[in-house]
Amino acid sequence: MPFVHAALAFLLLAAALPGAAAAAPADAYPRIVERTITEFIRPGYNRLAAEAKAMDAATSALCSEPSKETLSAARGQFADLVDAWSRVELLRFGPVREDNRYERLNFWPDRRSLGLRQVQRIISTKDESAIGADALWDKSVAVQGLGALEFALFGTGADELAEPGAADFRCRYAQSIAARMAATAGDIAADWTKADGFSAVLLQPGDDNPVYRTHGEVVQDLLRAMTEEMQFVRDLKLVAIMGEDARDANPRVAPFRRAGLTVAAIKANVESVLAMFEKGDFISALGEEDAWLSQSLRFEVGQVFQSLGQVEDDFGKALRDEEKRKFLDLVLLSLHGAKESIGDYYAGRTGLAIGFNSFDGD
Amino acid sequence: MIEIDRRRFLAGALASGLATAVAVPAEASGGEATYVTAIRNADGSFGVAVLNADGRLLFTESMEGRGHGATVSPDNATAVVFGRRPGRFAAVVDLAAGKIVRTIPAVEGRHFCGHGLYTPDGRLLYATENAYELEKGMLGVYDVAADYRRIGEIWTGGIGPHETLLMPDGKTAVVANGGILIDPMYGRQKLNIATMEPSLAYLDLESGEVVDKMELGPERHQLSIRHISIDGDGAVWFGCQYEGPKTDQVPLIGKHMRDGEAEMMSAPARVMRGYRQYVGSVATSRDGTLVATSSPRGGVMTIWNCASGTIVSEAKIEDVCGLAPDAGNAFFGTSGTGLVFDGDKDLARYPGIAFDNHMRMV
Repeated sequence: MPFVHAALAFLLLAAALPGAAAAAPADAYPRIVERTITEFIRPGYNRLAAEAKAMDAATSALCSEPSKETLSAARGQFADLVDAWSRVELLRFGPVREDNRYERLNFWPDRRSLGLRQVQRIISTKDESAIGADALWDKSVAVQGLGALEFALFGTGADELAEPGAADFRCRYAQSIAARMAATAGDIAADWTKADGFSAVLLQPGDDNPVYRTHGEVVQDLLRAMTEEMQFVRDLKLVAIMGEDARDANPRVAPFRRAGLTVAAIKANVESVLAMFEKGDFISALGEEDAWLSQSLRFEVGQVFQSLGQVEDDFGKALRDEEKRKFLDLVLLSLHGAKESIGDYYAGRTGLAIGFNSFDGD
Repeated sequence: MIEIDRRRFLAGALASGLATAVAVPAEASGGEATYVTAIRNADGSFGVAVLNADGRLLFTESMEGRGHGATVSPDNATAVVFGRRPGRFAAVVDLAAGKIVRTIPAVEGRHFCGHGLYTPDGRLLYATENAYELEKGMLGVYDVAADYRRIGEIWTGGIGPHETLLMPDGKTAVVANGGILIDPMYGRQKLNIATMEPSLAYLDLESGEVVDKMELGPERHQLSIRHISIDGDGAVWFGCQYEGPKTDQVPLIGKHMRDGEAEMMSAPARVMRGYRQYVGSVATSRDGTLVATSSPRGGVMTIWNCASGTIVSEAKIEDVCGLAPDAGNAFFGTSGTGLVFDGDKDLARYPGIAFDNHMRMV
């Protein structure tokens, strides 16, 4: 009998607190954390490491046999590398935060082009101290990641990479960046695989855990990563670049604009949130009555894709076109909807909502 | 050591029907201690609120954006609430009239960082500001009698100035340079995590010179010094927010006597883990012998003995942040869940109101 009383008391309490979950199976959390690691995080970083390795091979081939074909292959591989990065970019915790690896892989935004200028100086002065994966580790984070590689492969003068002997140093620098990224991404992937590494911190919360007391706290941080990514894409990758109106737009600072990958990278960012939610089976923490949430999130992401499809051909031009900008406004709306689904509805229903000051204090 | 588990206390009170959600009607101040704080209203809008020592809401006023810290004029007639970084406004509140009487706009190329101070004669107001193009922290200088006209600025000796206080000598300002660079174009995105150099700087307000500066050293360069309070001996207590890996165990609270070395508080690992690498507020008791620190992320508050550096008490309070001395020798505090407390007594709970990070006693 006391058992029944306790259950009844729980239900009454849940009913009295608006937003609290009525039917959330709390034992869903350990499985969600485990699935997120094994189905989303590890495969994501393994792919990043593999694409960076392939980038290393593609730039090596380009340097040993410069031609239109090898340059085109290297540029194609860069698109795959950006895609792989964009799908783990939302993970701003764990091994990627050691030794500034996150910034080493992608230093962005490069405000006032400070990083770009360092990259240009390395190329123009043929700075041999920037050659080699190990040498790059000691350089500024701005000259060893995707932004630097993009400039090397797509920036002013990059077409010379196809002409034998014309851009030897630039090619060796591009290859060094690829090798550096392969090493950095490989280290992150290895750290996530270690049994006693950060995976264990997420999987074994408790009083002795340096970060987490409960699985719920871990899930809360995973939710935070997803909602922050929606916010990040919205505020930094779109609103900041769109400006107030068409005349105020700032297409020059769009991420990966030289490679023409701005929209592709944003799509991968948004899709990664949905992938994390689905592969982690986050919906399993909610009851039957909330099953529609998955559909709703899918719908919002679909809307983002559809609207972005309308501006994909020439993103820079679309930013300056009042009619095309209406599609971008729809993207902002859908991103907001997707963020609310996870950050407000899901977090509220599971009781994992993050407090006002805890979420974003100062 | 006394541990007050406030969550447990509240749960018990709820079950016994003692804690009722009360919104007390506003009424005029009776001339006793009052507290000024920024808030978020139930509808998501932002404002400023003034509470009396009983936790009664005396008045609220809406603001154009989210506020952060406040400073009170020496004659206690006026409070200025600064916009949260990258804030574009500071609101001047007439405390007797219960009204915002003026809004100070941020000037071109600068934004407010959420804190400021009045000179002892009440003639000048200094505000922490970010000169983002120059990548320099500034104290903007405002002439109170001339309708808070901005008459100049002085360099804070670092990047990302946050809280500033007047030292007991009445002519030196101490500034917590958080070390984090932001640019309003990219919202609150932290742009220089790899190269942060936080410091505690002492500025001679008359000459505008940095007369002393404390840095935590290269190993702790990602420990952002953000919030400060001065104890009865004139030592500056500081609370930090860590930008490095979640698993790093770093001290977050320290004290510094001008011209000396920083002394970091040692506490059991359990206590520091509770802070989740984040200190939201630091306040000194009325008699200057105790300092309280809070973390909304961890939902904890700790009271320290200033002389011995030992812990006097701990409490768990969900989303706690705002702290100020109370009329005795304990602390008045608030949380993002609408709670107002004094010492270990809960005074009121305002459903829908989220009290923002800071509170200032009038």
